[in-house]
Amino acid sequence: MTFVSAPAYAWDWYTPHDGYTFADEDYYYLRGVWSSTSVDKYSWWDAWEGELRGTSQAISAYYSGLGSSWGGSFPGRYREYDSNDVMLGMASPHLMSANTTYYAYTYTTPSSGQPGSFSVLLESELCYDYGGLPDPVPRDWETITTFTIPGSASW
Amino acid sequence: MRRFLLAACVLGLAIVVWMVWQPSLSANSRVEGEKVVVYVGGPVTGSVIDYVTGRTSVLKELAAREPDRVLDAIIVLDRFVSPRDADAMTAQWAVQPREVYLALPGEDYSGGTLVESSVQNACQAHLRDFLAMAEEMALRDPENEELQRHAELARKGGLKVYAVQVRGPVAQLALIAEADGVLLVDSFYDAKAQNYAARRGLALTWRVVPLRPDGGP
Repeated sequence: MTFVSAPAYAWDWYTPHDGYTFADEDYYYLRGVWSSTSVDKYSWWDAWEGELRGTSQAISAYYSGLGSSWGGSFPGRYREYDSNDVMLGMASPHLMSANTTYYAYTYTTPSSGQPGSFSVLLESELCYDYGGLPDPVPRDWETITTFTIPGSASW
Repeated sequence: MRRFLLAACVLGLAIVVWMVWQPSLSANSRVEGEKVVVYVGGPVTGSVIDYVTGRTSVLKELAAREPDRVLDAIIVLDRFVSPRDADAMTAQWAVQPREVYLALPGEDYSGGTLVESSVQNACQAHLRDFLAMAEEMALRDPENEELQRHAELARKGGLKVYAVQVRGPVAQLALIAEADGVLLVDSFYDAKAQNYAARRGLALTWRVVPLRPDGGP
């Protein structure tokens, strides 16, 4: 079990300025606080996602899918899984209040060969939601921290 | 100068032709990298009434064309109901529940749980999982007082059902859309997005974010 404190860093505007994450063999939890600058910049077409990605292998080496239950207080919350990441997202970050705690969690299904510990990175991702446009639009992301599961990180 | 103008006109025409040729996406869908994401359960933006009217029309048109086609759909209720009532509703509608959506009315918390046997059992599983997570986070992340408050409300029986994801024939789904207590039956069907994804070889993801009866986020 490890605990990681990320170094002080100037996060991009869409990333929670303060947060905590924990994950173990069968669940992933994420809490964040966004600044007034973040909240003011978010528009209805934006979505935000906190993604867990393996550092040395795809996340599918550790989790084979999502577990039964999930929830939280992210506005317009959702969860997704693919071979690259396990994600907790919110479709309506513009509905957040500044300097307020929001959280989400999802249970996960461990893969059959899940090791006793493994390293992941937590990525903050901004998605532009210009519905109706015909082509992909740019997104932005940054790594918040790297930590070992089972374990936690705060920033 | 004439050549420049001609080239500009040709380029402009090419852009217009390209834009017309591109299949557009609906307002509730977008491209994210290698996948097309379609939101179901409520509008990403705009009027709820317009969204409900539009999606109900799509479902009815589909039911007229392909009544036996089996689709997933999210049934969004116009009120919070107990897990027992949700079981009674899905039994009456003769559809198989696949996931139930629960919330604490008037609070920010909501979530979901896959249904294996009954909605009631799924809700019990959700409560058990939520409280287990909250108990662990009380030790690991004591700063999150909101989580502990939500857990206490859930422990006291506060979780209510507001949407159920089901699978059934389109004709049946269209009938459910008319039922008492139902705000919207939003099928996992979006011709524009599905054509767009197929044409470009992109994956398609349905992102379920049901409207809450209390207008909660």
